[in-house]
Amino acid sequence: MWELICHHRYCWGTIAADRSVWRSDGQSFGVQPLTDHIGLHFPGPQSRIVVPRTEPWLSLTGIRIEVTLRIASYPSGQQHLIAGDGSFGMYLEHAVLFGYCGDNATMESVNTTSDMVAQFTPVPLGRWIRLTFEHNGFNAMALFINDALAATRPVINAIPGAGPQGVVIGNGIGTTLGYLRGDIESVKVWRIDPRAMQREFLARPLDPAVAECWNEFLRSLRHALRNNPDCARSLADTLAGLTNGFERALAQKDQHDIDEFSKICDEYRKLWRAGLIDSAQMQELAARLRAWLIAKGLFNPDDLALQQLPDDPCFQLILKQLSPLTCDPELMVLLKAFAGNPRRRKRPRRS
Amino acid sequence: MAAPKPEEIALIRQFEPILFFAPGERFFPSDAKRYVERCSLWDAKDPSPPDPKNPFATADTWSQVIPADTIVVAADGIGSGDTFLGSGFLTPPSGGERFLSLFGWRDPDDTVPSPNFYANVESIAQAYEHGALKDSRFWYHAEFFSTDRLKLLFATVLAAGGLDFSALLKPAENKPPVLRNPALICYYLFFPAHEEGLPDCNNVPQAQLFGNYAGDWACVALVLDRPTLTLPYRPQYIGLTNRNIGVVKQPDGSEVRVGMRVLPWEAVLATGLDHPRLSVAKGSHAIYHKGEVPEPVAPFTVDDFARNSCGLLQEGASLPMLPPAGAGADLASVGIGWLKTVDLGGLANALFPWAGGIAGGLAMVAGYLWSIAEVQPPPLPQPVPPPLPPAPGPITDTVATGGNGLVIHPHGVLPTGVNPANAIEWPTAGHTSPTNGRKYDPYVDRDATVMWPDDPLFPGFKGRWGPRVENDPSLRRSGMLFPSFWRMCFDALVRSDPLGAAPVQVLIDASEGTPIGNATNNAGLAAAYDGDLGKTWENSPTGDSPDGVYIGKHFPTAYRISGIWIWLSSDLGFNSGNDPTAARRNFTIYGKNGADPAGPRDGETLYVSHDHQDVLPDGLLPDIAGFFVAILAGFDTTDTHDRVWVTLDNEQGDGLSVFTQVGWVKTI
Repeated sequence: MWELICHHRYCWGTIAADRSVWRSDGQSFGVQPLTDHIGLHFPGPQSRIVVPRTEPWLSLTGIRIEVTLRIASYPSGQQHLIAGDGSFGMYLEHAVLFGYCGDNATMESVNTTSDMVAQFTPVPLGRWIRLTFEHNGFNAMALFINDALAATRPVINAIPGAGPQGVVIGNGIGTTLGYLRGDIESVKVWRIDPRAMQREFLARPLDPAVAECWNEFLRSLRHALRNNPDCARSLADTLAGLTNGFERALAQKDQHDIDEFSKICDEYRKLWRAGLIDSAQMQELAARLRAWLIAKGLFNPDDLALQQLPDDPCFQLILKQLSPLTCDPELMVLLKAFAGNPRRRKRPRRS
Repeated sequence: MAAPKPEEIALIRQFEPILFFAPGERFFPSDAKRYVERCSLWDAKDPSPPDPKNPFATADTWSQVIPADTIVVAADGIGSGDTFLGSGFLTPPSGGERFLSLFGWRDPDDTVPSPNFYANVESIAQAYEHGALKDSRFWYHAEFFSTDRLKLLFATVLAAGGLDFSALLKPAENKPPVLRNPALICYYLFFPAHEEGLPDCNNVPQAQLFGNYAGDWACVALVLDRPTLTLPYRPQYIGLTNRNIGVVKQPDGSEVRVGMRVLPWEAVLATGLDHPRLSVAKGSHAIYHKGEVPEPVAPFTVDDFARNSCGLLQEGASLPMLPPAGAGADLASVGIGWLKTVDLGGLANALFPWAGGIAGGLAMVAGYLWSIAEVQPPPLPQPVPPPLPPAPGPITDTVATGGNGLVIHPHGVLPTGVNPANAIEWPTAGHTSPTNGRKYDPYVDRDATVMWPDDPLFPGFKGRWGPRVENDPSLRRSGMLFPSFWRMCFDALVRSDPLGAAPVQVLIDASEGTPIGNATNNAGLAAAYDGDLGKTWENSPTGDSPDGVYIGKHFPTAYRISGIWIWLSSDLGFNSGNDPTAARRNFTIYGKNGADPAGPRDGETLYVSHDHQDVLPDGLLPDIAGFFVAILAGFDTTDTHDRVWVTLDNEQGDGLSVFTQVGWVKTI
């Protein structure tokens, strides 16, 4: 679920090279290599490492940041460990660690005093420590000091993508006052893997005929999207609204319900990966999921937005250009199970 | 860059690699110049309108530009009817591609769905095994980069928005520079073709051709340095290439077909030797240091999901995405939800023909629930990151174990234990063709030839080294472009740990220390360190103690021992007697300081095979002739030891036990 999008370890002079596959390289300003340890020293207001906003920073949802560092002193005001433009950040105020998400208007934050788990744990001075901020992209934020949970807090919003100023390490964005009084050895950033669903979807064993069925379908879909970008966007927004609505509703449930949902989904993934798509187990599971969602109020089969979607002109336009998927008979079985067994519409009697 | 100077050639020769190939390998490093001369040159243009997701999808718009056997790459070798590649043919036409073709494309058959889908690798193999290009094999192209030239090249990288490699040369306060007077030697290895099928896809014939293509480049790069200009160079780091199994085509249009990992020189080579011993993986030509057990290949870019479907779902490698909605939009997830929910509307009547007007709504419900089933609510925040999501099926390379495949080595440096019949020497010099006077030189001279494209100061061929193939949006089956290996090396260097910054496992040279143990029968203890991996049981050290048979080393200094390589005799394994295939035994590795062990168990336990059943079945050593295992994890590395040994159980004392060869690995 987590995808590493940035891993700096400052052991080659002032070079801020990223070891993740995303090559989130940074440009360093006013920093000095340490002589006694791997890492960079941030000696003054201009000190910073700037990571430009590239593809992975645009789609975050959830984030996990680990900074290995040594704090030299507590100045008055904030000292920033990392800041993503309008998106996320970690900073210190004296010995209190803060993590936040969102921009000025939507910001939610967690800190090691107000949200402490047991007792306040000050961030220590003068020794190497690891500070972690995690937003799980769903319902919780947390801070860890040397891998020990220090604070946690529920969260409503997902993490937005980083703005045009990208990400700054060791200083704030748009300020020179918040530079880090200390040294950073390494920074690691993960995001919620946006391709997780795609990964699962493509993990199904396929025979050549079904693969060709999907190849043809995906070709036609790509073509239709390219030719009708406005309609595609409009429908995508509608669906994103549905998906986000579901995820928010689920996030409001207690942890027991969330765990139960996760368990059902795990079962689904196992059957999907095993190619048991039209199996009795899968049909039973689909029916069970459907019933569970209805029982928990997470799904309404009579949802107007869903029911009316087929009549949407954009939907009709795109649909006409798609290759049929009836060549995947296993899928047909699965979908019937998901659709349930609604009452048949009565035919008018012949008089 | 003119021809290398004699002292540069001397360095190139001094550090020539020894390459160990796996049995069954069909393609070996060959002279790229002779390859080009036999090729034809082609242009590919896009149909109109182009499909940006799948350019050059058909061969309809491809055309031959220079016929076969008429291309020359050096201005001084042009004969009648020849065409100099440097006369306007180095750069692809605007909006198009240019590629070399030796034997074109494979004909359709049961495994190939269409013509022009795959390069004709079989014909290339024939030409190199039996035909006109046979004598051009076993060749490298080596290039020396001086400090001054590297500085110039670093400046071009920085100007293009890349990393500032020149920071490696700058001292910091109280800290010397990482490199003082660096140089780089690149041994470019040209393989006429690349063969890479997918494992566990036996029912999908074309999966065996998943990553096959013509024109494959690999590289061994050495970063040298010297404290002053008058002192000799010493290697500091070595770069080894591996192909990229991730997504090849990058958003900026560039291609990542291969990547490089850089290791400290000490991790690859025992002290006192100059020629790195390297294994070349079968088909893929990924390079490992000798004895390294390949881990599942890691992608250099994001995962390529096409492997999940054995390559059948080519379109699935990049599912249709939606127009960007701005920062923060979870495009991929929305894309999948879109795919599942909206598109299933099209199935409404097929799914629910009886449902009349409500069929569309039912299909929406089905698709919506389908997409919900793949929602993954994350766990609450954790102190450590959860494991990475499962990637597409793992791919693990096959490398030679011992000297059982062909070995290419420097002149007069036959590696110990290698059968001379399997060994071939690198060329010692270039030669001139008696028929056309063309020169063939293993040392890169950018003034003389136009093959090399990766230095902005010199013109070079920017096309593909093998045919473009149809319907290859992922660029796995088309010939590759010549990568910028020098840049790749420094790029990989600064993304790795310097020596001392992270533990590195190093094979201790077999000549270091004194053998110890009770396996003194037959050839005796020293035979376990003679480098001969293929010895028979009679020529190996053996013992018969019921307390266990052990063999080890007394080192002059204490090391943190973290691994062992074990070879069994080539004819009888460890010779357990009646039922060798069923016999398996536990072994234990011990360490001690200050005095030799009094017996097989007189030491601190560092590793017990029983405790690591993921390494060997049941954690037991199988009695298989020629068996080899490298164990590089699971050791107790808390302390250092100057004596270390491995004891093989022999409770019945009913037979003799033997390790024909042992290698010790330390962590530095």
